[in-house]
Amino acid sequence: MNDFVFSAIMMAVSLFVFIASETFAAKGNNAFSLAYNPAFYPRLIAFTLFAMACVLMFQSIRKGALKNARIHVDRQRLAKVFKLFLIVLLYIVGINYAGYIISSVLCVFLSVAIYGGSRKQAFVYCIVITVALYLVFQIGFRIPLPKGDIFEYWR
Amino acid sequence: MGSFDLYLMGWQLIDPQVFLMIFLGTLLGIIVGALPGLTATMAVSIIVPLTYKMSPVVSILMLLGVYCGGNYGGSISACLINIPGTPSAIMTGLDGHPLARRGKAGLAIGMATLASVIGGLFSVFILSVFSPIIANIALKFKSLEIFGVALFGLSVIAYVSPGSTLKGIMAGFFGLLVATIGFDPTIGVSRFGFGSTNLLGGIDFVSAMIGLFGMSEMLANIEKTKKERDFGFLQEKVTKTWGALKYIRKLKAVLLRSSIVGVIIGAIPGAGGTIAAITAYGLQKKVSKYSHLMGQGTLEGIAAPEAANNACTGGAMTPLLSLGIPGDAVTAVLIGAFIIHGIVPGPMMYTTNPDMVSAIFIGMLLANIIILFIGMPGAKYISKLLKIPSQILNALIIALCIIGTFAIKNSLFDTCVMLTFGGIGYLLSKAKVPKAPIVLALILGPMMEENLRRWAALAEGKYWTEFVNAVLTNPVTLSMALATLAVLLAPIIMKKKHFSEDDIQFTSTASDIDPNDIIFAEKK
Repeated sequence: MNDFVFSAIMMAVSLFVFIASETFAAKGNNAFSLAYNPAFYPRLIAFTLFAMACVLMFQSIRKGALKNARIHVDRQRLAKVFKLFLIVLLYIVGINYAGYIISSVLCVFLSVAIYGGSRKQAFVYCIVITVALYLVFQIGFRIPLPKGDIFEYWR
Repeated sequence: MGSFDLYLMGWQLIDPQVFLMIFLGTLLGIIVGALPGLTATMAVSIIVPLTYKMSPVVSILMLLGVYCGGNYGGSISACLINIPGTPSAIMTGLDGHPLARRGKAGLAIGMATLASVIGGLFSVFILSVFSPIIANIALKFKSLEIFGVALFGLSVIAYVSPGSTLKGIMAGFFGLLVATIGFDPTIGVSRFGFGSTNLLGGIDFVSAMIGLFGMSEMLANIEKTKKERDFGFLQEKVTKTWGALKYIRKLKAVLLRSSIVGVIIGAIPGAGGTIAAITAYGLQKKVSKYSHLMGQGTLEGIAAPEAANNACTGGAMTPLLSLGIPGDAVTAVLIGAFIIHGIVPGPMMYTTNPDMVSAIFIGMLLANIIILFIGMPGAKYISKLLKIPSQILNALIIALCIIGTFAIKNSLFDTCVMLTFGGIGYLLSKAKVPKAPIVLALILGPMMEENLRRWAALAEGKYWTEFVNAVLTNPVTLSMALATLAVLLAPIIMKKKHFSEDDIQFTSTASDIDPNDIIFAEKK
């Protein structure tokens, strides 16, 4: 079933490339020019990818992908993946507003907790890791880490 | 410039700071390699941003230290807990772990260390001799040959990656599509930008590779229960590692044979330490007098795969330095580090950056010597790191992935790219699609397109005539076309690939032998 889904996604990607490349495709004499049509090369790749996806889909159907169409999903495990993804996403979004220190402390605390660490572990390591990375990047390599828009506003 | 001159030039670049960074890189590589679940590829990916502010020589040599150290480090956990720290150590555990269970953990790790160092040093020697010769030939390549070499590299990495070859090639083509985002190399128009200024420069491949190799592993790890993530620690003390020295003379043929195997397999673009270790172990089993004892704790069963997988490092660097094509996933990531520092790996390096080439030779030489002096006395301390709770390590890596990506260009957009590729990498692992071809395609994609379109412009529309003409008149183009075709058709002809991820899982946990039956073959 995995191969069936993967090939379907790759087909969709190929079709999307064909449609989206219309905006910058050369017209007229250069329409079929590999050298001068900026859309020709991506379309060539997309066409090959589509053809390979068809082969993979055919192979997976022959192996009975459609007969055994049920995908077993462990909801608990999947929920954990989503939670972690969300934590990282919020960290990336929040770092601009709350700054490196607050966002990092929160992200590491939640990460340790979601991986099954105790509250004490999470509390200790969120400070240790945040400080260690601050020392390496901000002090050691002089890479400015975001201070946060909120603090800039107060100032 | 000869190899000897390059060596001399290289020594002049090694100052205390450079040496310290090679030392730190090697130490970091050994530690990461020793921790199951963290691979050398991931380590190099997440350390690349740390080296951004360093000089090119310092950063590349530090990353080479991580590469060499990471390849060796896997043997420590393979011997102690029978879980290879890196995939290339899968065969080491077969004999290393039974020997450790017999109370000879120090001897097992000592032999793994010595074999790794010998294999690594041998490969550096071969690299320094052969890569200038190959580079000299490659300098004469024109657009079509360069495109052919890149396509060959991409098809080989798809073929040798674990899982289906078709899916590997599809992953490579997906990477090629992603590489087309941004400005067109010939006309200069924006492609797939969707009005975003962030996409004008294309997708940053360092962010993509940190996502694919770092973040995706963290997303996969969270699925496991705490028990699945943590591993049982062997209470055996790691002592008398230097005791392995007295067996080196007896095993010199094993070490030489396996090092040669490692270098050859490493030099095949796309192949890597795992295949080298499996091949060297299999070869040793065929030629050994004690083949019936292998898998029960023999020293040659440790020496053969370890010499081979570390000999792969020099082998894998040979196509990278001479052709600009990576020999394995780690060297694919290393290309990214080169490009960040404005160096384009390939035959031109020998004329434009001979100092960098020479520094690489010396850096790899030193990294292997450092492995000896960290591994032998330090294995007992490194083995204690296996006790670090996985939740702490994972949280640290997540933070490092995010801040590391941000640090490259101070761009939150790149951090979003990293997370997106982390998600893509996670889904690809679920579908058992290899990720290395995507990174390689992201790196080689612009070069492939530029050369193909340059050739097409010169062909003036007569593509087939020009192509047939080039194939028939130029032996390099012909051999490149035949080799690529052979790699693409191999899975259809041979029906089955030589190994899959499931095989690796099986072999890494297979040796469940009664300690009383373990025989130390070299004493017989």
